[in-house]
Amino acid sequence: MKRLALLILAVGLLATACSDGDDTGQAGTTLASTATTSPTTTTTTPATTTTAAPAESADEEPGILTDGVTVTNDTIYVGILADLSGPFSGNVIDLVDSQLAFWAAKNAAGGIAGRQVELLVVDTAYDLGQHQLLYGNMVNQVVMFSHSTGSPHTASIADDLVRDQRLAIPVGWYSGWSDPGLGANLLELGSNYCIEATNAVSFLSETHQQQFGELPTIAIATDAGDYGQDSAAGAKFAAAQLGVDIAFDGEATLAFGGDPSATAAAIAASGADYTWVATDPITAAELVSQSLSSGYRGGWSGATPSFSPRLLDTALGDYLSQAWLVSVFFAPAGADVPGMSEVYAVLAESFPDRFPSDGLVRGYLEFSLTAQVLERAAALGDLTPAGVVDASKQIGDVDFGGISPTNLYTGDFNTSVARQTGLYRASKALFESQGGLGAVLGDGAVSAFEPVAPAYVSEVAANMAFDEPCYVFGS
Amino acid sequence: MRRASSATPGQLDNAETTSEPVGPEPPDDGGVGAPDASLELNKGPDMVGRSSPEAPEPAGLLYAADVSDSPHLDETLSWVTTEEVQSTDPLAGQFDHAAWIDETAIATVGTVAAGTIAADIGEHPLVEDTRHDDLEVLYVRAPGLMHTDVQLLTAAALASRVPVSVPPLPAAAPEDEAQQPNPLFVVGALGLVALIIAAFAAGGWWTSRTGEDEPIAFGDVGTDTVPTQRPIGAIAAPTTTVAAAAPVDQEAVLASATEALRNAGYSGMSVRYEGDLLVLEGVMPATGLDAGYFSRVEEITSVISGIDGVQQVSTRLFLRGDDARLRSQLRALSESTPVEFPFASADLTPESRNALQAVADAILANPGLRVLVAGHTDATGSPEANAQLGGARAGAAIQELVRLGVPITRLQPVAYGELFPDAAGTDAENRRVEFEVAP
Repeated sequence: MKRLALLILAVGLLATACSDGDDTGQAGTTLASTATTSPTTTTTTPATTTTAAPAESADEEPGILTDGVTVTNDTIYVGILADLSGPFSGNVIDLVDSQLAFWAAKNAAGGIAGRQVELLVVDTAYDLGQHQLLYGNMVNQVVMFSHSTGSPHTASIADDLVRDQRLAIPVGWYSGWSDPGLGANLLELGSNYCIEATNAVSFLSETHQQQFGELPTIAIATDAGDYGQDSAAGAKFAAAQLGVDIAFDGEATLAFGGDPSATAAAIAASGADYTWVATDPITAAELVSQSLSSGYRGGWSGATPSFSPRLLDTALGDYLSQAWLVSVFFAPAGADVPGMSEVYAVLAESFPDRFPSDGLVRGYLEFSLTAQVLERAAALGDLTPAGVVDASKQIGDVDFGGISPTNLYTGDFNTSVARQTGLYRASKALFESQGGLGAVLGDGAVSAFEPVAPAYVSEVAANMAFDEPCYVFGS
Repeated sequence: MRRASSATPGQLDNAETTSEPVGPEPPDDGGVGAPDASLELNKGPDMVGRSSPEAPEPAGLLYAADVSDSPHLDETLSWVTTEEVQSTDPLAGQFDHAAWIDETAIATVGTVAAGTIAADIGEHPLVEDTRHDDLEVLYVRAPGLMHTDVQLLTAAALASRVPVSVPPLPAAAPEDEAQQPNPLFVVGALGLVALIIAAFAAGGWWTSRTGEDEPIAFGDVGTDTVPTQRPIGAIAAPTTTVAAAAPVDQEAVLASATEALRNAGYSGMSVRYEGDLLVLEGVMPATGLDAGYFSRVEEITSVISGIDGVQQVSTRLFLRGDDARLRSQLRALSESTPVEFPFASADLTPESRNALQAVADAILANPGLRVLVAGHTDATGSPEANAQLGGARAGAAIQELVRLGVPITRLQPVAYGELFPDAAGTDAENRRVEFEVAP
């Protein structure tokens, strides 16, 4: 096999790198110039827009009101606005596939209120304009959206959702979703980027102090925007509360497809004990490898979207399994939590040859929340879009069987923010023992994560008071 | 965002902290405990199919699972029947060892004898207990159709390392649905326990205690449950049943179906048999789903459902391709036809261009997956400069792959430089680009 990835080896090579000539004779094209550019425009044909306002009418079934368009006598239409070809498509496709599988099973078991659930799926390609366009094309055809990829994308339709009386589940853990002023019709799952960073930095600080008797230093390297900067805000908040020195502040210095070399060099120069990252897995891999090349020896942790178990299959796998503390919003695939067995059984049947991606688990959560809202609406006798919105305000706390922390969908901003995240180690040994990337659900393979603090709430996060998002759009 | 408490920085040991313990938190009960909260994945009173919210709850529903053919409980758990019962011993005399789960008893292994279930053999005995070796049947009682019970069974079965299954219940007649909820609704609404029955639906998915082919019938639900059972996990719409007068020539059906799919332009899909069940699987193009995924699945399935001999079609059509297949193809190509570069250069050689053609073919044959293009160098030179050269090599390979028709959105460069050499390789062999399925 033509690849070998060992941290020790890598470190050793770095230490002994000779300089008697460069293997760099050609002025190489930099990564930035060769990296993937902005996502292509969607290839999805926009759906025919139903422009007429649906007239509410009494359904044939006594007691359940529908509009006859988004919910008919036999079908409930649900929308999915997903990045199927852009930077997060690797994970998002798993997530959407998982929803498809769970809805298929749900339909096979009778559907909801005697109706089959049909999913209208479009590819937004992580493009803001496409997201808005496709939303407009679809909104009058669906009773709610069970998935909306991207925080800025979802934020851009937040007001429209309220106007159109539609719900959406955002794929993005922006701390503003719990703010009724922004996320009135958004149903978040799990905690948020800000809390996640606060928990991780707190945990690193605590364990470092226990081990070395002193506070660590940290570096921060994130994408721009609500994702990266919400996460950076949380990391800085924890650092300030705990007295942790920020050796390098690389907030908003990373971007998908960008060149992270300057950030990597700064991280290495800072000598920080740990670096908190909020980016995509590929940029993270670039950042880690370039930081290593620049001599960095500290540890790593990062926001949930920054890491993928598939990185264990890359040359960085051995290093990451030792140096990266995995932070997650919800239990990874196969985790020992009560609700996982049901989820796993469906996944194993639907995807027997699929790698046990955590995106598949997240897809279940979206399905489950959507199903619960629709079922509540049906129980209340109103499956119109407005009825579904109203139902969402009455479901209170939702328990996902330990897969995701309980979410409150009632209450004020502060009380509705979930404070719990999970911390794991990515185990290359576990990963390889199951066949590496060849591990499949049909064989009972599980995520390569081993628990460190799977249900962690730091003191700082627990006491954080939310009266505004950690990061405010445009700030 | 502000700090609400008066705690000072670093006060992690504060006795008043709300932090949870740091470190692993293995459940102390294997997941069987805390039935009232931790197992409730889907709360709500609205889980009774078409019943109106005010529909009366049934007096009690018992699911019974025959595990007699799973002496070590590492085999499939097969539900055999269900019925409303008033007594707690419908299996009296039929089995010697049973597990009983209801709302109050978390899990009890007992002996079914003379119409009674002996209880109190231990706390949570389904967990890490060798007595499972004797277990023959699992009960779960669901008075009022509280799905917590089913979840309890699920959790217990998981703790017992038993795959979980769904009771194969007959669909209620339409006129009965309002009064008598179909338990499948319950199970389905739970987040859909397990889909193992899909594998069994084609035949032989239940087993009798005596090993005969006759199903065990508890109560008045009998063999008529089988024909109504549809594999979950197979998509709802496309499971099609056609009466067959003669034994199916599976090879002929596969050939016809393959040709039909090809003629219809569905290149990323294939068919195979799982027992008697024809499985249609592959990658669903992401386009055209704005009119409805299940409608699209049905449309595709219709291409083959009319073929002579097709009795039942189960579909696994999703958006993502097979990671493992592409991974193995890319690795094999790295071995057989590596993409290598001259010293200090990111220029592709003729050999490398040929090798990239095979890589492009592999990527294009596995839609829905992205590929990491990793640029490596030998160890000559500074790490920083080699990282840059690695990036340049990755970029050159990507440019060629794009020229060969691979969408750039499916390719991601990463510059490893000298970090990850092939330990057994020469310097020349380390001047390379490798391909990995992207995270």
